[in-house]
Amino acid sequence: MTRRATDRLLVAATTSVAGVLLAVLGGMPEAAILVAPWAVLLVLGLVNSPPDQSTPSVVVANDRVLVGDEVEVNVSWTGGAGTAYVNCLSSEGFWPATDEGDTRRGARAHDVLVSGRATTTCWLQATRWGTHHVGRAEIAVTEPYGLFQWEGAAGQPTRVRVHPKPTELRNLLAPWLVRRVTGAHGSKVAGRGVEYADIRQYSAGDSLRDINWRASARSSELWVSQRHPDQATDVILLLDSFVESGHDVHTVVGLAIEAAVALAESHLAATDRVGLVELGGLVRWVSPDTGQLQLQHLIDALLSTGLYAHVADRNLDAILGRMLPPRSFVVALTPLLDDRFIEALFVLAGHGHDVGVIECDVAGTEDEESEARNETLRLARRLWEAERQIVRDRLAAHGVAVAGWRKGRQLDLTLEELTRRRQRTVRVRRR
Amino acid sequence: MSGKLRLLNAGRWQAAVALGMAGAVATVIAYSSPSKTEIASRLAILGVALFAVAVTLGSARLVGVATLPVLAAALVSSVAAAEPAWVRSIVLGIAWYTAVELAWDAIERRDGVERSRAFNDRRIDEVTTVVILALVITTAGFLLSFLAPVRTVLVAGLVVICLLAGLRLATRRLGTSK
Repeated sequence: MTRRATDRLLVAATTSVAGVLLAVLGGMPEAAILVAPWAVLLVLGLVNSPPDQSTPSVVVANDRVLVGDEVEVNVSWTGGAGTAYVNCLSSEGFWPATDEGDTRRGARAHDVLVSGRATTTCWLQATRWGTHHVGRAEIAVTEPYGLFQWEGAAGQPTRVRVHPKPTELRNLLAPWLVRRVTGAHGSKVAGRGVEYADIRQYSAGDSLRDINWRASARSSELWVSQRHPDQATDVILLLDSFVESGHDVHTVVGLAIEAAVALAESHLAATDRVGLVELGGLVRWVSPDTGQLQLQHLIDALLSTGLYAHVADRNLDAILGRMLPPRSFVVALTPLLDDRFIEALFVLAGHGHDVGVIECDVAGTEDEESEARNETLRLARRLWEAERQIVRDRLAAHGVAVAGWRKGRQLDLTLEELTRRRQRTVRVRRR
Repeated sequence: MSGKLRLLNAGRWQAAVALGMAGAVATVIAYSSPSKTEIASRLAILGVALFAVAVTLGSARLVGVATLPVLAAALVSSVAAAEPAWVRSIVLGIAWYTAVELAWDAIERRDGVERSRAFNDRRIDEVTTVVILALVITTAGFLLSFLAPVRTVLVAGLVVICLLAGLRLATRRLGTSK
């Protein structure tokens, strides 16, 4: 921390010295009277200057928050006296300035050091999901009467994870393939469950509770009801983090991550095992598992998703054996722009995995508005759409259904659409 | 209320009162100056105009700079008078100091920094202490000027203040070293 003179000291010193000199040497008592408040301020400021310097320490109270929540940053002071000013800093870009310009609400604060001790609290509002660094603060301590100021920075950057706001989904994607573990998805086979499947003749060993008395009463033999067992599945969220120039990658990956978090939450709540594969500039994965701890692992991995330009082919075969359990339900979140990722989808479908695609749409409403005014743009858009439709059709031909999602649309609607399209593609799979 | 509007409104009252006080000081100087000291009126108007610009632009340093012409104007008009104008000088000096402190406070508030109640109370305490002490000292000097020549009172006052300040500093240093 460095000490500097304030404007208050400059004014007080200049006027006091000039006034006293004029009064004593020039015989003008009015000069001394006029500058009396400034002289008093100068004397009080110098006399009350604290002998020791304040030492600040910065503590970040939260390490995980939701978007919209506030992170509490406490600055504790020891020693010194006067008034303290704190400006809490955070990683740029992730805590964008609000409509207040550069001044985020509560990010800066003034307080008083009473007997050399004080705690100043600042609040930083989390406006965007991701991993951010908070805990560095610009510090200024103004001595009593404001003649001198100590300035500097304090604190070490602390990592704070900002989670997206949870999206409550009403629809759960139903997998075609399930594990032999009790869960929430109806199985195609008959067994112990709730949902009625069929009836068959009673055979030795059948439980008496399964006897269908109504059907048995109409014949001379005993009939038992068969039911679909509710079973769990392995859900693998396949995230496309390839960088494709020409569109807002952060928005598209952001959409994919929001969808991934919502899907992970809903499937983990249904006792499914959920894993994550990030395929892009880097290939990373989280092995499938259940429970709240797994949700934390998944969210941490999603929040640290990075976008790295990379031209090398990514060989998904290398990680298939280690990462994907057999007959997994793969939900791909992608803008369907990178050929390497599209190829990976074919590979997965070829290996017998149940694959569904949520296509994160890159076109925004602004694009549509400009297209409405420009004929060339509209034509380009139609050509581009036609190319994308070819990709979708190719995927559908391999039993991979695609449903689009864009910002502002409810994810539930996309899941409904995907479920409907998956019912059509199942015929392809059976052929 | 939107953020930008809130910032524009922040410190609005302090700025208005500061400008009002500065205007009053300039008016008193201009109207109470003898006709031969036209320069005092001009200086006062220049100082207050500078002060108004500084408050509008939010420049704390320029507010301080505006102090010099205003105090010079007050001094010129007082010196030109037939006899020492003690009460007028006391009122003008304290009024101008308060106006400057208010202007600084208004500028600081405009930054939108959150302030604790203790911080505001502390600021008020400091300004009040300065004003009261200045009032006491100048009144004491005014009363003493009836008993002794003005210059003697000034020199004596200066010596006493320096001695008291030195004593206070020494006491603090002693307390810290313990």
